[in-house]
Amino acid sequence: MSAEGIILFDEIQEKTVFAEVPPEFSSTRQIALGGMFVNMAKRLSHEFKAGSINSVVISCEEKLICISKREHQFIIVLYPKNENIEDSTIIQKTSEIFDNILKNDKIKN
Amino acid sequence: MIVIGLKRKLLDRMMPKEFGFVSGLFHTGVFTLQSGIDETLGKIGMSEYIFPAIKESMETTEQLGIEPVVGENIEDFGKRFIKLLKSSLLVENASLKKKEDGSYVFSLNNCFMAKSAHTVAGTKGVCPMAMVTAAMIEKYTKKEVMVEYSNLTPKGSVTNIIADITGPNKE
Repeated sequence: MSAEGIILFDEIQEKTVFAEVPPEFSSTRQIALGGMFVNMAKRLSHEFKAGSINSVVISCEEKLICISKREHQFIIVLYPKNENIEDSTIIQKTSEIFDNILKNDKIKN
Repeated sequence: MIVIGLKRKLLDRMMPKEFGFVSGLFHTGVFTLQSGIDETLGKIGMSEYIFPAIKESMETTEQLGIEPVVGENIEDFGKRFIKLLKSSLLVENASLKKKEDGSYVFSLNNCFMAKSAHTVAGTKGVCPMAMVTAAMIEKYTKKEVMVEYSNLTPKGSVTNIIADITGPNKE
């Protein structure tokens, strides 16, 4: 299972700090939606006193979207949905991608 | 200049208090939308949804027979926009200053709407004209722009606009 697209959003800077997505999903608005969704999820969690967000999995007809948090950064990863995969597997895979991305010197912490 | 000053004084005397209240309601709508977007989607939502619409609207001046506001660069835009604001009699004066760190400060002085608008709508919001300026700074600098809440006073507003000069260019 390989990722189709990756967006990294920093909640302190309130901006996207890294994005690698296919050309058809690469408009600034599409990339910004990742950050907006994170903010919305944080709001939802806050309203329902659910605490800090660990991960979010959105299972759609065509794709899976997984969001994972590490300190003040959120990663949003887009996967093709070509088989039934457990949420825990997706979260684990997203976590591994996050580790690799954070090793990248281009990311501002 | 003298004519504009006289017109403005006349306007101040002629406009009923109800106009001030109505402009206050207008600001209430704007500020509520701003804070709603900010709280749910974050500042990233403000810039992605509001700025593109503003940039598009700025192209419509000629349809109203008004001199184009869109200039060659941010300085040119600033001059044109301030001239427009003064001609509209909305403000006595305005300024757009670039600071050493690359951020901008946009100020409205003696805004016709300020006293009533900021009384009715409260003092947490971004001056609508500063939103316009921020959108245009983004257009010219091609950098991600963040607007801080304006310092809203009974006489006008002062707004810090930060352009991310180290970040990637925006398409």
